[in-house]
Amino acid sequence: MRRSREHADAPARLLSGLVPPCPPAGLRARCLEAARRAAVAQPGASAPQAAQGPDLWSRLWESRPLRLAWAATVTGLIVANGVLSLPRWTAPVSTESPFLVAAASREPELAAVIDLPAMPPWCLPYPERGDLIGGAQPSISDPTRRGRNQ
Amino acid sequence: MQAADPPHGARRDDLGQPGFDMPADQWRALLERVAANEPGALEQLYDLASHRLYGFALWSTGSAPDAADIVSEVFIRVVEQGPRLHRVHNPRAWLLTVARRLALDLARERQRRPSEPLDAAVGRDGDALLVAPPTDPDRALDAQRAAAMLARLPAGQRQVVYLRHHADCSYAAIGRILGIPTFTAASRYRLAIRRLRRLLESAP
Repeated sequence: MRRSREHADAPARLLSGLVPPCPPAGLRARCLEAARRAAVAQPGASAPQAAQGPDLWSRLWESRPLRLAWAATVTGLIVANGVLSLPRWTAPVSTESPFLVAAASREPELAAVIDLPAMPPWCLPYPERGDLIGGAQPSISDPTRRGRNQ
Repeated sequence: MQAADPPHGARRDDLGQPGFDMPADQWRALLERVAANEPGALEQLYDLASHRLYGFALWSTGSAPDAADIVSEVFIRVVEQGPRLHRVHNPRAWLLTVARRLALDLARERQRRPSEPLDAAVGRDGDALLVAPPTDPDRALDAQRAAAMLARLPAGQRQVVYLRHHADCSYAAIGRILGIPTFTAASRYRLAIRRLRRLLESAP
């Protein structure tokens, strides 16, 4: 444990006390001269792309297009929020049968769909059996049927 | 050239220069004097900040001429800020951030041009990343050994080690300077130390 801590501290121990090299001797005069020239060239002027430029609100305040864009965006958001917050109008739910609603409507196509053709009489169900049969409805007095039943 | 006297309360660092780690309010007062164009204020700022800025630029670019250019450009940016210097809350971190961005611009320019990678350039032409302090010249061999190992670290890890060891920055401040989360700064530092330890163990 102690050995591993010693290993871990070894880089820190190596770095401690050592220092980065000093700037070259002529750099001080060069820097100060360049800074003074920059100050003279732009007295009171703002740096075009300073390392830490003005904050967002300052830029908005100073630029007219940005200010207009910001105002338009805020207005749009407020209007959209107001529109979406209003109770939405919805059609009342109809409790009537859709067929009745369709029949009452003025749409001819819709009315034609629900206007079903009448069933032919031979397709009607037996009055006594209640089911559908194909073909002609046989007569009760049919002799062939009577004989088969017997 | 004789360095200007440090502001009241400022310490002198291990090179006998005014302390880079003086309190933030004194830094702000100095920047206000620079903004007001007071005579001697810019010189005092140079004496306070140039050593650490130069070291940081050297560790970031690996080239002494490039580091000198970056320091010069930092002072031009300071002057160009003018009255907006009043808004700088942490001048020390701000100066290092400006230096970091200028180093980044330089690295981008180099990437556009066919050139060697930045890491490969570190420490060439005798641009040592570390030197022995004047008070302890016996450590020159240690400095050479440490510089050789630091040159093998990625630039991001090297910057974190510099800010931690030579600029006395917290992980939060390092994160703000490098534009990375605090956790990432701590993680990078841990990785760098682990790598340095491995290099130390493998060294003959």
